[in-house]
Amino acid sequence: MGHGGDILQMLKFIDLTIPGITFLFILGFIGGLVSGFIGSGGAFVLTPGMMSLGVPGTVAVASNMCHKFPKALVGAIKRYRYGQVDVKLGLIIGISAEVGVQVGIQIQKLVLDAWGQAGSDLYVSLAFVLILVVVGSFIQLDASKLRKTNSAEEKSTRLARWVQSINLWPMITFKKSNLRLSFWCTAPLGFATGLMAATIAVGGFVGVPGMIYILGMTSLMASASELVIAFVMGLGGTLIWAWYGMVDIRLVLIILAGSLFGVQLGAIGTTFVKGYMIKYVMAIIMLTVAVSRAFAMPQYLNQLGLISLSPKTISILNGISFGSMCLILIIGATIVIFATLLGMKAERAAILAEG
Amino acid sequence: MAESSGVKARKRAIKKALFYGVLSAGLYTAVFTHASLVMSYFTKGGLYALAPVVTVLVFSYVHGSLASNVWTALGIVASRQAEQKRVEKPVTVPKRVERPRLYATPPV
Repeated sequence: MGHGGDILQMLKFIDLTIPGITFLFILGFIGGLVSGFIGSGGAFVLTPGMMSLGVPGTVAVASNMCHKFPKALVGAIKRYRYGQVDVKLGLIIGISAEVGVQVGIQIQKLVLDAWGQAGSDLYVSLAFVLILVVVGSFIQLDASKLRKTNSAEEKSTRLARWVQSINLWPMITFKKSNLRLSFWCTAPLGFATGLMAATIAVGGFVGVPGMIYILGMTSLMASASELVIAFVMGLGGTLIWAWYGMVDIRLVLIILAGSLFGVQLGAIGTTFVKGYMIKYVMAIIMLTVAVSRAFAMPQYLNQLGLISLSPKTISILNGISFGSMCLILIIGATIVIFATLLGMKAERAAILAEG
Repeated sequence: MAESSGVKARKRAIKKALFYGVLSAGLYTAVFTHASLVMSYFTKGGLYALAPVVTVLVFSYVHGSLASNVWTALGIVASRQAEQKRVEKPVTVPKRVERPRLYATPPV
């Protein structure tokens, strides 16, 4: 019996049906499309999506992780070809993120021991809502300002200029991003990204805004380099989960079949849009995910005995929570497709006008 | 001229898409017709952990190439500006300014 023997006896790997396969393929495509465009996303809906088909939670998390790293790799290669990826920065932040993931897992364990499963779920949802509302609102305001000026140029924030002025050994030069930063500025960002990945499963919601507003990268470069971080984190996570035999390769391959089409289309889309569009999509997704998680919170408060709700009310709230998450992804994907088509149309018109 | 090179690229992409499509379909068929056997090995854990990792990398290469060529064949390709940037020299950090040096005999 292998390492995961005892655990596996308790787990049930689901029988796949045609509607289930179609659902996962579509979810994979939409998730990939958003990931290719903003560097992350998809994970927050894929795990509950798999669970809704009857996949046990741990298998869903493990399989999601296993599909994430090859998808990120394909997306990163595509965007590298467009000159958008800073591999060095992505690798350094990615390795720091691995440390954050391990700390995040330990925090999760502490919360689980202290307050049980409902307390842990409440902690995750609270982290989701607080972080996404604060960061999402900030990005939304910034994107609105840039949209008004219709500027393609993104100015560094005051914080980013200060971070860039820190001259603390070891200093690292990132040629692609045209930045020279102290390791002590990039490592904490990676750590925070990993911590978030272990807590809310989407580290990019902290990593991408961090690279833009704290390090001073452009939206295009940050969202593309996030794919390198996702690859590093995903590979590390997959090896751990697979060591315990938790990966359902069938689910992974079905999702991958859709997401590899999506991630490349998303990457192509980034070449047609201005930086603020990436910020817009990110902000819309982050803010709506926060609302969706807020709908899931009463269930955990009820389990902890802090409020009293009927099973029917909880079921309705859960339905709204999952439904709104699917809706967000569809909205995000629609914006990406429209922005890409409009960009392509404008470029063709410009070429025709030039003769 | 640009139009004809675009048509050539699309024709090439169709051929490649067909090749990778057949390869991808073969790989998927191989896994799903032997799903029980594959699952029994891939969920053993331990060193068998490498099996799903290697598998997804192989699939992502083959299926990723298929996806890339399908988009190209459909005429959905990156903006020309992005393509041009690709061949441009990457932006580099400004070179360090030489510090003033004191010479025994001033350079000419």
